[in-house]
Amino acid sequence: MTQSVIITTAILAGLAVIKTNLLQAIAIGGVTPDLVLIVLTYYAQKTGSMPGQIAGFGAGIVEDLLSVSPLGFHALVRTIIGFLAGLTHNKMFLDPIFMPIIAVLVVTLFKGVIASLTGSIFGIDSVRASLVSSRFLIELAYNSLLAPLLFALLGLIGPLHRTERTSSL
Amino acid sequence: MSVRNSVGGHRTGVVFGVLIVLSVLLLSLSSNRGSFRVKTAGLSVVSTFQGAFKSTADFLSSTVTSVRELGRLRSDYSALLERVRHYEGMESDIAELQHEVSQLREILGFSQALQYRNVPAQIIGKDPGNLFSTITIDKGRLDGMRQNMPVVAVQDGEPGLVGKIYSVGRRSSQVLPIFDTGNYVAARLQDSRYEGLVSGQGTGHRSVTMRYVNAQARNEIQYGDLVITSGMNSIYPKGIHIGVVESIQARPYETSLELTVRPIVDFSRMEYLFVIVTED
Repeated sequence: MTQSVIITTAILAGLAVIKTNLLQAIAIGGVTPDLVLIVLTYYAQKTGSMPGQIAGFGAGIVEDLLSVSPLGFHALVRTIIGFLAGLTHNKMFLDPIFMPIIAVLVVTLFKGVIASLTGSIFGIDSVRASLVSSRFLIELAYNSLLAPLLFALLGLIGPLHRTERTSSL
Repeated sequence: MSVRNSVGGHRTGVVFGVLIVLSVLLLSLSSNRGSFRVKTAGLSVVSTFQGAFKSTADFLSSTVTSVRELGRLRSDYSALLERVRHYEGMESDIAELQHEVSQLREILGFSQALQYRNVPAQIIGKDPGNLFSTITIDKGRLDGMRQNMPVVAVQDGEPGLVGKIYSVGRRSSQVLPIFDTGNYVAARLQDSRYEGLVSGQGTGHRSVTMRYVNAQARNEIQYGDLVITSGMNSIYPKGIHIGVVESIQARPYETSLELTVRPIVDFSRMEYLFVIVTED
């Protein structure tokens, strides 16, 4: 499990870095898709809560370093997302189109709720009302529509499947 | 089997709890200097990768462009046409180079004309998410950057305030733009000289708000009036252009006005920034 968590965390961290420059080219209204969230959802569903939350925490810390957010903000949100998405491990049938859309839609909504709550509790003004913004709706649609494609691509990556076998032991 | 599952579930819960507590601790300590040092040290490390990704992106982009150009040339039927197209390509390159030279001259000219000592910087990244509004530049502590230094940009020959340095790594820094809710700028209307406080409305809002403007100023303020820094706080020197008045909200029961200000700088098309070097 350790190896796959490290590899996945590295992939998620790489995606976070890519989001800061390369992905700006495909932004819609200044909103980029949350690739880290989509990959984390896939990984946690395949492997469970333990690897999901650890990979989420690691990726979140890297995002905190790349952002003006308070250190720990993304780590907290991603840890909870990794844990929650992992609860569906072995409990969901993943058809190639609709389940990825629904899973990522729900997880993005969770992300919005958790971010808004965290913003309210810790007094982070910029995220307090993020859930009711038009940018969040764009991100919700963007993430959901990209999910089937990314889930299909992730199905071809070896380490994630290896984890599925080892974690079930 | 059920015992094993129970133990596994218990362990997951414990690790989840530990990670949550750790995240909350980090969040709580974010304003603490020690935690900030951890963040800036981390920024130094990850921005190295950020720079590498930027270079790779530029390389890939130029490679793809070259391949397309080659394919187009091969499809030409006559040698003459091919030659003409080749010259056209060269002409296009020269035009592009001339544009770049003129852009760099403008930047150099602005850099020299600016009354404050400044360091030109290039944007190497933006925020990894959609909740915050980070701008990462390629100048850091080794280039003399320090926290809270003002950052400006020039567009169409006009300089405008971008924000301030938020955190500094070895070779990169993060800029907090004026439209962030956590950024406050002491401002003044250039013509009527009334003062106020400009603050952002968050990511996604490209206008900023100027509050606490004396209500008596209502008849002296016009749409399009220029708003500049007043120099009243220690961060921003006076006279830097912020934006122009877009709308005026005056409520009868309030003693101050609220102005919506459209920034001079279009944040979506910034490439180069200038960090104003201030003394401690």
